[in-house]
Amino acid sequence: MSAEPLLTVERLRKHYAVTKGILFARTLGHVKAVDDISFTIAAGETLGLVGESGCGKTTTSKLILNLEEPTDGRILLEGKPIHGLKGEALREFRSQVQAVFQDPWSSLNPRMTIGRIIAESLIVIGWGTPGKIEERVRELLRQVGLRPEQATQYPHEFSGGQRQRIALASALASRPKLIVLDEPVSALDVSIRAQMMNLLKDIQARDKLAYLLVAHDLATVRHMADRTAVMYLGRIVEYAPTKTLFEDVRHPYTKALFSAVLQARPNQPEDEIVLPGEVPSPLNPPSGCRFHTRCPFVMARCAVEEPRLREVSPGHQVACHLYQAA
Amino acid sequence: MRRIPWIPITIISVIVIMAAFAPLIAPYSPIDQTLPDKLLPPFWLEGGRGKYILGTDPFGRDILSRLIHGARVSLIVALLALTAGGGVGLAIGILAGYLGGPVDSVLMRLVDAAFTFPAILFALLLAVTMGQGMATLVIAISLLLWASFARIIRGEVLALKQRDFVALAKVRGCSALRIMLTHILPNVLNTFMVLVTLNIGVVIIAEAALSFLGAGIPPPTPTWGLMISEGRGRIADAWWVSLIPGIAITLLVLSVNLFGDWLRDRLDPRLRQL
Amino acid sequence: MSAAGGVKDETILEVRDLRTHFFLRRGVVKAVDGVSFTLRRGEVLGLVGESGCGKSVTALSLMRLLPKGGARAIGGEVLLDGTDILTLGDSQMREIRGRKISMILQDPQTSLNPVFTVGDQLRESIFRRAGGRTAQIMREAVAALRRVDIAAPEQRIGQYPHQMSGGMKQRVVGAIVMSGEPEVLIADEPTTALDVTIQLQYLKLLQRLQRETGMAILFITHDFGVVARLCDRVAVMYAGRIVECGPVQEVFEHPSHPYTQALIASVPAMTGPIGRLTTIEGQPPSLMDLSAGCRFEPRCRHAEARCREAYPPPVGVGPDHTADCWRLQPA
Repeated sequence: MSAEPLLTVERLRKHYAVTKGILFARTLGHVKAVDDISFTIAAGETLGLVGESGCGKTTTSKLILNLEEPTDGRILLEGKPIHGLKGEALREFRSQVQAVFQDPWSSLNPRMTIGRIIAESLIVIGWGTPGKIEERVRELLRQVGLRPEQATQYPHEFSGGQRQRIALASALASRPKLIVLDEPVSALDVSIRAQMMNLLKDIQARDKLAYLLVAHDLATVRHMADRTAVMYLGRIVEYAPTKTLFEDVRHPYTKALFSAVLQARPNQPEDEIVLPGEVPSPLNPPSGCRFHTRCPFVMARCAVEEPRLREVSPGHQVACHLYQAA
Repeated sequence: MRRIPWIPITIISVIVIMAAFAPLIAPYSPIDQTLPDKLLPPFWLEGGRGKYILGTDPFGRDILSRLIHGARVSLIVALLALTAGGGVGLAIGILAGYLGGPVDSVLMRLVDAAFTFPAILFALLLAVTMGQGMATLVIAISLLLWASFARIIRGEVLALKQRDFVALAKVRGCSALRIMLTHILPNVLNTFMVLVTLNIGVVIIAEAALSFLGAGIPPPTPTWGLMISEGRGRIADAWWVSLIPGIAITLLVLSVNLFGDWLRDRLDPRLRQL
Repeated sequence: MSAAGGVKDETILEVRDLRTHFFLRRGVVKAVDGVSFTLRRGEVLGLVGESGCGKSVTALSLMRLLPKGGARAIGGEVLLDGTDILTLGDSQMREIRGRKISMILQDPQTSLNPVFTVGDQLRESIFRRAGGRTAQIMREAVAALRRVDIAAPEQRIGQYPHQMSGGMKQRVVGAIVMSGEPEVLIADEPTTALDVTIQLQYLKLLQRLQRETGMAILFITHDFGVVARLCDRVAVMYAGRIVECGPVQEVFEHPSHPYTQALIASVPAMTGPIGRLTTIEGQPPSLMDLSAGCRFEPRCRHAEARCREAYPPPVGVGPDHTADCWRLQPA
């Protein structure tokens, strides 16, 4: 690991205006999808980003992929801001940061052969002659466990697991330094899921890639991520090395999340923490700590004062008043 | 897989061949008048003659020959109008749908305006100012078509934009133009082809209507619409003058629509295996 | 779980050699091909398998709700309280559906009609069962919503489905189903679309309702965690057949079929060492051309010659625990 992280996310915010009317639109409020989050990803490591729907993890990944402009804050790749890039600099960024999305049925253009899909980024950056590109495509297909002859086939001829391998091959084509994996295995069947997770780890070990793993499944994160950030309503509530987090869960929301994981072992005690109600609207998040409306350990100050991320042990940060002296 | 629609394909082929080789196939000139032979019924009716298989019109012209030459004019008009109107609609639909925002608002207001536009009236106006002729007809029909193409294609593009492969194309480094050309366009071509085939009928009927109203191709050049119009005064005693081109239009439009349905299923690779 | 205690051994639903095939132009898809199991009063039976194994088609066959055009139950019996419902007429089946046997689907959006309020849909179901006066039905509808833990049911009852979250809609579906007081409930992946904390809320609710009413549940899922948490017994399905069936503890602790063993081993764990995950190589077979032998044979690490020749009969491997595998046959 070098001193400078590969990717730095600094005080990132993304607010969406909710408007009514067309011509003279009134702004009704702002959905604070991502609200002041910071983290880093080192070269070759995997950061897990965990949370339930609406927590802002997908928005974060879109910001990192430069598909959305942040409202505030910035993202640096090797020290250089990634937003506002143009021309050659943008092309350079695109070849370094890639993505695999959740839905293998929607990730591949049905009208392109898979060879053409995998070659896409190479064609765009003018990587080499058609012959060289073809050779690289064959190599990539082999790396993800498919046969090079399959390059001429269309996506509909493949199963979900194979399609996800094709999506990975096309993300790998330009030899990126970071791949955003947005729920890469959650649409796959259990037995296929394990194949894909092993493949992702093998490729990381060989190419020294960094992953941002966006996931809702804690067991997946445990097997893949070096460090993990837990998000709730646009904020990071807990951030720690994955091993530490799984041994020493601190934030009440993270505790509830862990407790809700149903393990494939019978006769477990039925004493899970059941959170009351549902996640509040990000349009009008609760005052103070955003989790205080559902927290089993809520105190008076939680409703008024927002807790900041504080270190509770080396590298383990928690945003909760339970761990902060008044 | 649906069965190949042989009957529609045969009908379309016959009409296309007729149009392509009209001068070689037609037994008589479509414009030369033989007044003594006027208003003869088709040969199978009483008074009909084997010489004029489908009878003659009020000027003694052979209806079969006019039908064959008329197919040529009608198909050329359809081809040009669909290329111009459909092409503009396709481009606008893709631009508005993919770029969104102000571009979309402006283009879609134009489409709304086009829908409120009295197309027939405009065609008549055009005929008065530009004079009758094929150019007038093609422009008038294109103006009638583009807006519906643009609106339907835009809807399709909006749905496509939600698919992950479009976002991924951006991540891979594709420019907006490249995404529109390589990712959006091939995926709306199905819809476009279906719209084209469904609109061949609309165009042929529009051509007929405009020619009927006198805003189309000037007589004596035969078009199917004009032929119907020429028989309208004699519908009681010489019905075949109008009915035969009418049947030709119905057959062509029906065949093209059946073929269009089949083509839509055929072009979709997801349906190809079923 | 010891819900309705003494009546637990009584069979409420027995499925014998059910075969549901899809007749398509390009061939016959044998989605369900010889499925047999029993569901006892007051128990929760899990039906697990991967996508395309036939678990949902089994459920639809039991409800007699197979899609029109091509899909037919071509063989077997489905005995609900002793009556073979496959032989019933459509009107008789309508009488049973929703009252004796009911179903919850994965997507609550498709179960609720978007143009009627939640109250309308609930009242219709209550009226169908018992009739009664408007005021009485209204009170029952509010009570039904309260029973599925919906806060402020008096206000919620006038809302439309789109005004509710996914978890809440699934509760409403639950309230409608429960108002029919079914004896058998088929739940087809009802929590798959929900977040984990909402899934837990929902499973606890379902468990409470099951214990209160003593209804039997056939719970279809792909998630072994849900099976472990909720079910008494589990049936594992692969390529149109049930390959292993037994009490949850038995099956988890002594999985006998190679497929079950591999499937349980491939689930990433929350504890223990982190290493390479065990995988099952290859893909499930095409349901259009199945071999005469064991369907798992091409992917099985223990495959032998006899596995290719004939499908193995079920073998008892423990109390109430069977598996379809030649290796388990006594020599």
